Amino acid sequence: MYFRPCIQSRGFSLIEAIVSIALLGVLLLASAALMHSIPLTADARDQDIALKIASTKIDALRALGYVALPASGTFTDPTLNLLASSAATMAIATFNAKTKQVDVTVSWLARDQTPRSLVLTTLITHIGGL
Amino acid sequence: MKNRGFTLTETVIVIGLYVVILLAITNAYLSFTRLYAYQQTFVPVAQSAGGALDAITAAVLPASQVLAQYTFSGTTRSSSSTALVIESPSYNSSGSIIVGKYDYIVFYLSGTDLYRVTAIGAGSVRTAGTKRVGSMVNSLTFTYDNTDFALVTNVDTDIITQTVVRGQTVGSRLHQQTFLRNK
Repeated sequence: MYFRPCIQSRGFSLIEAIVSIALLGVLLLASAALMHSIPLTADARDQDIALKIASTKIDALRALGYVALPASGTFTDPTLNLLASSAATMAIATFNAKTKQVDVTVSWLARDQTPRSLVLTTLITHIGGL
Repeated sequence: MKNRGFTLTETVIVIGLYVVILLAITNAYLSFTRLYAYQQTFVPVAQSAGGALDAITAAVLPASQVLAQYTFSGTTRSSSSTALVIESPSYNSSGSIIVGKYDYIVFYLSGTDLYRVTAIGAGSVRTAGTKRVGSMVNSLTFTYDNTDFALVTNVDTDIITQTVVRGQTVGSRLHQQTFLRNK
């Protein structure tokens, strides 16, 4: 009688399987990290657009002067539509007898759908210009 | 029985799997290179718009007035919707304004490049000369709050930079209104 040894079809060892799965995992993680860095530059650009919108409004309000300051509300800008689901608001409040506090807020949705906003604040006094 | 090799079915299945994997890898590689090319282009395009707008804002803020025109070493430049000529008080090394002396700055497009030329008054420490402050400019629009340049109190700048990479248009747009502080 002759019996074949059963080493014949031994398949992969556990170590081999683990190593290959780990390699696959590392590659997947690397590609995911690469994918994640893509929206970063776009988000930085959005931030820049929002900052320009807010500072333009702050400057315009300062140029108007204390007496002519409008009521709180929303405002528009030619580049506001470049930001996703964006909104621009200004809040004018009394800081003291001869000073008003102006908060300009620009809010939008980042690429990963998280809400972002940027606020610039200034004080506008009864006397004095820009 | 010992060295019987692969059967036809096994070979066909292996080749089929191999082709599917190869296609997936090729597809991933192509989309990555496309994304990479987009990113490599997007950064300088956005930087160009930001840098150009910063240079314009930095020049307009301390300006005393917008000029209809000024002659820069023989070349007369006029303010328009695509060019901006400004007059700014000269200042010395201690940062004080030199009374009665002015520096003149013009921003103008030449092709898709934005240039800044500065001519300085006697004693001014501002850097004179020509500098390219932006590239890949697709459109640049200056809007003034008054048709009479001498009465302009603010300058509205709208800049769009863009370029095409692999048939894809990459662009960046910025807008800012700047008030002359020494008006």
